[in-house]
Formats: sequence, structure tokens, C-alpha cells
Amino acid sequence: MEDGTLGDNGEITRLLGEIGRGQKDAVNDLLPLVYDELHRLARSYFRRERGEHTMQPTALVHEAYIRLVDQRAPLESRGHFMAVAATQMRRVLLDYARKHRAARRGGDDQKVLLEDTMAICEQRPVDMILLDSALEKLAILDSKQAKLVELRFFAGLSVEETAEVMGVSPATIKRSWSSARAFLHREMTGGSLDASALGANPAGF
Amino acid sequence: MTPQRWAQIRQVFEGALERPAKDRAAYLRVLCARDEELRHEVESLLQSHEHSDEFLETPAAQLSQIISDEDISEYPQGYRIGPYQFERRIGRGGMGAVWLATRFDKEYKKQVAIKMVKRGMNSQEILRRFRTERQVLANLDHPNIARLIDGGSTPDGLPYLVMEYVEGTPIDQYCEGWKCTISERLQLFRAVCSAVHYAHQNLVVHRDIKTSNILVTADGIPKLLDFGIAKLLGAEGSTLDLAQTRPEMRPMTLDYASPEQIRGEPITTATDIYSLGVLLFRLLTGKMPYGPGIHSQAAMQHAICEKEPFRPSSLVLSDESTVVPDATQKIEAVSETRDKARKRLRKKLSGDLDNIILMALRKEPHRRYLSVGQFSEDIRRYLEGHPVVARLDTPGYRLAKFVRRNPQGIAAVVLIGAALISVAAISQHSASSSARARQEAERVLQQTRHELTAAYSHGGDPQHAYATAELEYNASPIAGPARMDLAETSTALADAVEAKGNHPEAVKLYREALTQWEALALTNSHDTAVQHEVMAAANALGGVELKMGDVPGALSRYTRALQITEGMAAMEGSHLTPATLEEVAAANRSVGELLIRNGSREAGLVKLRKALRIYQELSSETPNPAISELTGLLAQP
Repeated sequence: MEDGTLGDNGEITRLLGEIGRGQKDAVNDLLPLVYDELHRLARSYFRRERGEHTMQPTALVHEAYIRLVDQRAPLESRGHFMAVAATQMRRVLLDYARKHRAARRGGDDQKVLLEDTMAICEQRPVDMILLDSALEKLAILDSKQAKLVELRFFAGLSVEETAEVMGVSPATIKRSWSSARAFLHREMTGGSLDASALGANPAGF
Repeated sequence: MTPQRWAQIRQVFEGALERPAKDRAAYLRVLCARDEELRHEVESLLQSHEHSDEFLETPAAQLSQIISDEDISEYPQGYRIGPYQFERRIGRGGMGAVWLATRFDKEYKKQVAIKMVKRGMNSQEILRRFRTERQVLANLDHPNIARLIDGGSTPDGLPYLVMEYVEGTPIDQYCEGWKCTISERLQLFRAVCSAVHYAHQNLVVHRDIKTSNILVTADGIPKLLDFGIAKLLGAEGSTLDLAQTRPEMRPMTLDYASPEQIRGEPITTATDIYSLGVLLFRLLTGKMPYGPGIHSQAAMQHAICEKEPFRPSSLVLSDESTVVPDATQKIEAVSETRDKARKRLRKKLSGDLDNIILMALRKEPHRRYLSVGQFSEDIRRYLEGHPVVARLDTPGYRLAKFVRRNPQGIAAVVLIGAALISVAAISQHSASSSARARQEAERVLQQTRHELTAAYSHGGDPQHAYATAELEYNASPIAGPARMDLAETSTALADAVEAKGNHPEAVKLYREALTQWEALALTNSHDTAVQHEVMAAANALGGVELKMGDVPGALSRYTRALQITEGMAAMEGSHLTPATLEEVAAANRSVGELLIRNGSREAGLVKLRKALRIYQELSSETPNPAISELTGLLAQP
């Protein structure tokens, strides 16, 4: 056991237990603690791995779990933790994106692409702020799908892990993922045929 | 788009994806036959799906330099929001931080405090709290409350509040620093009360009153700060919580937390009264109400909920003997400034001031001062040398006082107590039943307590209070069990009083119990348990009346018991048990004996004969001594 080197994990383990017992308020208490830890870890990792910026959010979330949660906690606590951590990872990334945009305010490029804040291997850059607002819309239509996107994209969980956290089968996750992804892509490219979205003139910015 | 619509769209879409591309058009034609819009939606999603390639498939990837660039101090000196330029951070909490900033206008320079939400805390929930705080403050305009000046959002979407910047010292340090006298401290405290009372009148409960939230300016004006976890008392039931005060999450607040906050019970204006009590305790003694020896949160929580606070005067006394590893650092200074005056201080505190503080610190919210205004008034009366409202609250003090004032009312008071116990029991009981029933029971309990308090403290009519409690029981959906409980409790009380040999009180209580059981029997005529209770209560009452020499009274009780016993026997019909029969015989015998004693010899003999006959029918191998006794009685001339 490495308990000695870890922080005080009692509080977080306790809050996870409360969430497990259905006490929803506990989530609100957990959010800032997890956010701080993710933030701190991200920074410390960077310092440690000077010049090699390969810290994956996935690894970050997993390390935060190991550091923050008593490993004797029930398995379901891991699921609750991952759900919270995914939300906060999303927030960490979004905050960076916003801050970056604010810093460059006045410039001609208002878009903040994920490549600005993160190097994405062989992948089209994702506009974090657009993604965030699309996710907000999805959350209104189906909060579970939004959670699924957080777990898969922000916490980097595999289909199987996500299925475990959300308590459904991998097949259900795959189906739900496909429609969530299509929805977000459509929202972010302005390709919606939904009457209200067309009216909002997505190309107008 | 509605969630329902989306659910429909995604079902069709996911179904389409599972089919080979060439079959999809046909699939959509069938499923969207009468819904052109649905088909369009699904088709556009399929299109997005085709073009999305690896979209989101790779998790949000490597974090770059940007992260390390971030300064720990999020807003560097010189950072500007609108006309405000940040200078330095002056406070920090769980949700955010407070910054000192300067407002630059053409005309003037002004310092303000800007409260920012912390990054990562800008969830919907927190933003809602922030808006509520803004709303709370916007409505409060009082010389002892730090004013709200402005509010808005930063370019990166974090909300902020611009507040009056109060340059001052926490109230306890101010008092020590200026070596304020007791009456100066009380005057300062009353100014704080006026702010809290004003907030209450505007339906705001502060919930976080503590020394660090009250700054005293150089002019000697205390200002109440930080309504961050305040609560808006809305119209009935609708409350806007700025935060769930979770003691574990707010360790600094625990010192001032009330029992109801620890227990998670409803927060009312009485919660602030409690915290003000702790504050006053602190200001006058330099100590905390539960003493210095409490080191863990759990122990503190326990003390707040269970322990009686020290008498403020007693802590002044024990200054020298107590080594104080307390969270409060100023204690030595306090005792130092008071060293000479200790005896006088002790004398001052030990009377009315002790009582005033302890009244505010009562565990039960409804037994504290009715309002902050009343609390403050009592201090004014003390300062002016008038008698105060607060009285030392020894156990039974109020009851004793009431009984002295109203000796006839004791039975009623005891019964109200019984009512309370039973309602509390119901509350417990219905924990396992529906939430609604539980709420209802709680409501009854509250109402009853309220009536009881009114009866106690205003010398009101306890009979009326009891009647109200009864009405509440009747209106309650759990009226049946509640009344049953009430009756059982009354009976138990009567038994207890009788066991002590207090016959007159026992008669009153048994009478009440009998009335209750009778009422229950009317609505539960087939419940033999209830019938049994009526009979038992009647017998018990008759027994005590007999001891007191009230033969006619006893006769009518026993007659009633007999009637019920025979009714029960009739109900059993062909299943009549020997036990019931024996009860019928015993009841007949009792009535018969009393009738004879009361002068109705003939009627009495009829009952005795009946009893004998039953005993003889019942008689088996073991001869019943009752037979020979009755035979003897009947043989007397």
C-alpha cells in the first residue's frame, strides 16, 4: 500500500459512498475536489515530463482515481468517480480553451481549436467551445448520452469500461455512441435540418 | 426538439445504422411513412455519420504547454474586468475567491471587492447559487451589510459580484484590539443583530454568521459580509438554497453551526439566532460554548447536538486553570484584558447575560428567541438595567413555572407532553412508510410543538393546545395510528402516576385515557385489542376511584368494563374462549360487589350469581377459589 504518499482520500471515498447511497448533493461537493486534483496532476505531470507533453487525459483520470480514492472502496465507487472525473476533465479542457480565446481576444481568429491547446494525432481539430455547447444541447435531449460522450471522449474510457460505469451493455453503448456522435457532428458543422437550428443561421458568425 | 422527439429520432437512426447501407432507404420509407420531418432528421444524422470519420473517436488528447503556463494566481495584478482592475486576492473559499480591485473612472478611484467563481466550479448549480446570492444582496440595503455594487461575467464566462470593499477587522479582534468594555461589545453586537434582523425581514437567512464574516471598520461600524451560503425563505415550501451547508466541507463554520445544521434539519431564522449566540459567547468570554477540549469534527458535532453549552460566566472563572489549545488564538489576550475585572465580569455574566446567551444557544430552534429583534431587545433591556426575557432553562423549569401558575392544568400539560412523545414516535414509525406520511407526521409534530411552546411561554391555555393537537391528529392521514399512540401514552402516564400513589392525578389521566380509548372504540368496534384497552382503562380508573372512596364513580367504570367484556364475548360467539368467559365472570363479580356496597343489594346479587354460574361452567379439575368465595358471599343474609 502506498497510502503514506497519497493525499487524504477519506473525504472523496466518503463522498463516493454517499453518491452510491443516492445522495445527489455529494456530487456537488466532489466536483471541485476532483477538478483541483486533475488540474494539479496536469500541471505536475507537465513539469515532470519536461519537453515531452504526452500526458493523456485518460491517464490523468486514472491516476486521479488511484490517488484520491481508497482502493478498498466498493467497485461502484469507481464508476461514480469516473463519471465525475469525466465531467471535470471536460471542464478543465474547456476552461483552457476559453482562457486561450480570451487571451487572444481582438485577434481575427475567434475559434479555439483543440490543436491550439492540445496536439491531436492525425485527427481533425475539435473546437472545444463548440463541442461544449453542442454537448449542452445533447444533455437536454438525453443526459445519458452526454455523459457517455464525457466518459468516452474526455475520460477516454473504452466501450467496455463505459458500459461498466453506466451499468448497461457494450452493445447499448455502441448504439448510443453512434447517434450521439452524429448529433454532435451535425450540431457543430451546422448541418442540422432542425427548423430552429436553421433559423439560428449557424453560418452567421 | 424535445427529448421525446430525440428518443424517436435516435431509435430510427440507430436502427438504420444496423442495416446495410443499401437497405436504409427502404427502412426509412416504412418507418417514416407519415412523418417527413422524422425522415429528414434521420437522413441528416446519417449524413453527419458518414462525414464524421474519426470525430471524437480518439479521446481528447495530449495536454500541451498551455497547462503549465497557467499561473496559480488566476487573475494577475492588473487584470481588468470592465472598469475594475484587479490588485490582489483578499479571500478564498471553496467556490471562489475575493479580489481587491480598483474602479477607475474619469472622476474618481474607488476600491471594491470582487467575488469570482473559481474555475471548474462554474457548473449550473454553482452559477445558480451565484445568481441567488446576487439576488439576495440586491435586495439588502442596510448600513451594517456590505453592499452589492455590480455584477457580471468575465469574457471567459465566469460570473462575478462587485461588492463594497470593507476595510476592517474581524469583530473579535476589533474588540480585543480596542479593549472594548462589555457594554461596548454588546452595542457592537446589537448592530450586527440589526443587520441580521433586517435580512430576516427580507426573508434571507445568512447561515454563516461568524467573526470572520463581520468586519468592523475604523469608524467602529460592523459590517456583515458573505451571503454566499445564505438561504432565501421563499413563499411556502419554495426556498432557494445558496448551498447545502455540509459541515464536513466547511470546517471553519462548524464552530458556529447550529444543531439543526448538523442534523440536516430545516434552516430557519432561528439558525442565525444560534450562531449569533455563539458569536456573543465568543465576544464576551473569548471562548467557544463547548469549551476547548474538542478536537475532532465528530466530537464537535456531537457537542453541538447533545452537550449543554458552558455557562459563559463559568468559563471566565476557569480561565487560569484551563490550558487552552483552542482554535481561538485570542483567548490569552481576552483573559489578560480582563484579569483585574474578572470578578466583576463573572458577576456581570452570571446573571442575565448567561441566560440571554444560553437562550440563544438552545438546541431546539423554537425554544430560542422568537426573533433576532427580541434577542437584541433583551440585550438592550440588560444594558438599561431592566429585567430580561431570558430565564435559565433548567430541566423542568418551564413546566414547574407553569404548574405554579396554573395548578389545575398539570394533567393537561402532562398530556401535551404525551402527545409530543407519541407524535415523535409516529414520526419515527413512519420513517419506513411513505415520505408523504412522514412529512405529514412531521407537520403535526411541528404544529403541536408550536402550540405547546405558545402555551408554555405565554401562559396560554394548555387545554386549548391539547385540543389543537387533537385536531391535528384528526386531520392527519395517519390519524388512526396517531390516536392509538396518544391513548397508549396517556395510559402509560396514568399508570406511572398511579404507581407513585398520586391518586388524584392518576384519576385525571385515566379519565383522559379512557376517553381516548372510547373514541377509538367507536371507530374500531371490531378491534378486540381496542375493546380490551377500553375495558382495562375503565377498570384501572374504577380501581383508583375506589381507593379514593368514590364508590358511585367506580361502579359506573366497572359497569362499563362489564358491558365491554360481555360485548366481546358476544362477538366471539361460538368461538368463545374460556379466558373471555373468565373475564366476564370477574367483571360481573366486581360490579356485583360494588352494587351491594353502593346499596343496591338485589341487583348486586344478580351479578354475583351470574359470575358464580360462569365460574362453575368453566370449572375443570382444579377448583376455582372464586367459586367458594362467591358461594360464601351469596349465602350471607
